[in-house]
Amino acid sequence: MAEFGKWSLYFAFAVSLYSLAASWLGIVKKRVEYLESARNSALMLFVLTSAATATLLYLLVTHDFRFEYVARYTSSTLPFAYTISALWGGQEGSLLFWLFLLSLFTLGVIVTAKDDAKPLMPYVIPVLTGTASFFLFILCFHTSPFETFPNGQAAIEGRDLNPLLQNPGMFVHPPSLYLGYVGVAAPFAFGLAALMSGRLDTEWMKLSRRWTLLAWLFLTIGNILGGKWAYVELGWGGYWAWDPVENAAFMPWLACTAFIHSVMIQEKRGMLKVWNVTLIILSFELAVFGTFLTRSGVISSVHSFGENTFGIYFLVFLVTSTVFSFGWVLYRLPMLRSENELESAVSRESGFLLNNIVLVGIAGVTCWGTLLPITSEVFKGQKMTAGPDFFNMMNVPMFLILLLLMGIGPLLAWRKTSSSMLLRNFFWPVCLGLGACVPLYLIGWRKPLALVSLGGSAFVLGTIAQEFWRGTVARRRMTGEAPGTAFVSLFRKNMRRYGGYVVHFGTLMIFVGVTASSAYKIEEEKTLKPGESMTAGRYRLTYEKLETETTAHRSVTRARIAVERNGKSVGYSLPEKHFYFKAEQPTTEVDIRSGLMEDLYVVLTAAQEDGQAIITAMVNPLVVWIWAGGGVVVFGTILCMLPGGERRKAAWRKTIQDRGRIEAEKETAGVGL
Amino acid sequence: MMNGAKIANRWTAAACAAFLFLAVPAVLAKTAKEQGMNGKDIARKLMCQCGCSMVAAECNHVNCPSAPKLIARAQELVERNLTVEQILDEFVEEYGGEHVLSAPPFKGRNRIAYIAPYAGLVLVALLVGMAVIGWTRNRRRADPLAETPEGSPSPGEENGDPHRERMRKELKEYDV
Repeated sequence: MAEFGKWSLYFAFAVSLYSLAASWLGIVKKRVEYLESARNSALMLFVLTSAATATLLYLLVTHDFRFEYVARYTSSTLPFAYTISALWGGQEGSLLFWLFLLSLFTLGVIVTAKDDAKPLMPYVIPVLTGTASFFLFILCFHTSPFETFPNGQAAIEGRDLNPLLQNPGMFVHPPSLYLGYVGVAAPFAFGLAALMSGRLDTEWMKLSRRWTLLAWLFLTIGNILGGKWAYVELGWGGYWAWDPVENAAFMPWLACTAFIHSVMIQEKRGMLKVWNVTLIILSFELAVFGTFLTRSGVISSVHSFGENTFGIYFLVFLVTSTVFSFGWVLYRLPMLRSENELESAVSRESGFLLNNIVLVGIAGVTCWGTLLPITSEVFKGQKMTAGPDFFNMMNVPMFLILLLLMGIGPLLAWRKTSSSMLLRNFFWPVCLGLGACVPLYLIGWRKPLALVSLGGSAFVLGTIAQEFWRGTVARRRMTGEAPGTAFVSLFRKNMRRYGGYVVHFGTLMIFVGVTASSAYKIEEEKTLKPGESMTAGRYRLTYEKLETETTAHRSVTRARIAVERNGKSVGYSLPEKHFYFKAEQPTTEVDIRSGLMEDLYVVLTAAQEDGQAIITAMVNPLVVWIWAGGGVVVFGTILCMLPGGERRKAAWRKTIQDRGRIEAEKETAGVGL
Repeated sequence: MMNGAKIANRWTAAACAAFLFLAVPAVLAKTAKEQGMNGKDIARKLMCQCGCSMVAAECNHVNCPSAPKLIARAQELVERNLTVEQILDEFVEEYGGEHVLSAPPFKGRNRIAYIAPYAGLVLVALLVGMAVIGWTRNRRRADPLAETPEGSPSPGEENGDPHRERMRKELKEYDV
């Protein structure tokens, strides 16, 4: 079985190289049969990597401890579901899983390519298979998941999956992030294909739009679920610690977000062509950089896979692909000239441009801070660390600008916005933003940055509501539809635009949740004897006793704490400590009572032998808004991806054009309207 | 027009005000205890040394060899009535470097860590701003009559056809 998995990878490596060579020959010699062969071998790549992945899954579920990977990341008592998740729980398995997803995306790109994509496909395929061949090189020659113990020996028992990874969130969080990282490869391949083929109109962006949104969607889900996992599993009461690996996932998301916005300028005005190809290259390279950070061990993190020897190969791949991509940008520079120029500094284009600068600025600052331990050691001879204080100080002002731009951008007209239009569009949203600050101030939420953020959120909410209101009114005036129908029709008519507003609304909810939970968190810690109480905000917690239970897999120590809110009993809080026997590792399992307005987050910090317990209780306002906002963002992105809007819009344009022609004919005939 | 003496006086006054603004708070700096801080508050400014890359106050690894020690030591230093800066300096000395801090202190060459990214960003923003100004000027120079109202077609797109213009307006209005 091991040989099957191993040889599947070797064959896949050979096939990926063949696909590259066939693509090159096909392009150079202009031979269609070579290109067809390259396409077929890319499909074969999917079959082979699927075979290797299925083999590893089989070895995992059958607990074949002759294999080092199986023994390192599973045990015979590990629940079945977590045995499956061990596929991406370790270094080698996750690389294989990554490769499998890449081949799946390659398959998707090839299968869904229609006639309009055909001129680019000879270039798209080698970019994707070239990336795959790099991962195959690592898996075949440096770190194989199919390594066995020497002399055919087998471990008596496995070491078990890291207990921190034994959480339901781990089924979705890593695969989502991997899908996001890998997904960026598809628009990158289209961008590079456009550069190599010289077809630098907007076609490559149209073809890759859904792939970009899909990658962005998965990166969003991965980041949100990563935060949720940290909140539930790590037990420190937060969801984002600016950990290097979190940053590694966040940076491509930022670049990808900038790209999604800036393509609109090229589509509408034929501008920013260099910037757009630069952004998609940056998104891909940041995804590779994230992988390098996670896997090279150059920076320590709670998420990383530890030190290894192949980090250098990632670095070489990163540098080579960057030089290659930007080399093409330089070569094609004369063809990347803008078709138009900015007409006014106060226009939708300028808004997008500023939004792009801020997004890339946040990515740059995050990258700078993440690498600070290395750069400071090189240039200063002393290691410095950039923790949450540093990132918050540097990034919060830019996030606030971004928030405001989220509201300002959609209110600006393309080309030029007149002062009367500015006044008309901004009056009510600005009133709402300022008005929202008053009740916040009165209830005691007076921290300046929090007020700016929450007031700004109200302003953005006003802009979104205004856009929906105006759209619905316009639609009603035009068609006479009922308000509800007109509102729904807006989406049917222009899914991309209104889906985008839904995404903005979800982002707004995340902003509000992050602001409230960061600025107005309450935290109390106390050592309690049975019967003693502590308070946190409006909650009173009375510690009753410690309970213990043991299963084959772990032992559990639980504190039973009676909870009262405003003097009324609301049940028990049961925070736990687990000890996993195989992994010989303890973990903290928090008890969270989630509500729309706040979470009560209770941690059993320590359980003492004399029955005393150290309890940490936190009241985190509006955290649920972050997860709900994530859900809204996902929903909005799916709306943006739905087909139909463009077709309906084209049909509508044709109707209007026909009407215009009829009117013209009538006027020519002297009838008039 | 102001004469030289007046300007010098103003500069001296500004310098004195700046000195007072910077020096008085330093002299009157409150100790961490006076600010109502405890060891855990200080530990939010310290990195846990167990390799988890979290701040010491938030490292919740069971049996962490580093975080409890850092919090306890911070509490000890708070009790000694030191200012936050003094406490952090104490940690830098004890741990042999600034890696123990969650953010490099804003002094000396460390300032580069804070200024460089923003300087880069400002530079980029300036370059883009200059490009935008250049574009808009070019446009005005190329077509001095291009003082078009917002959303109107750019020169070249307009053909003077009233029906097309009306259609364009309708499209714009319903481009929702």
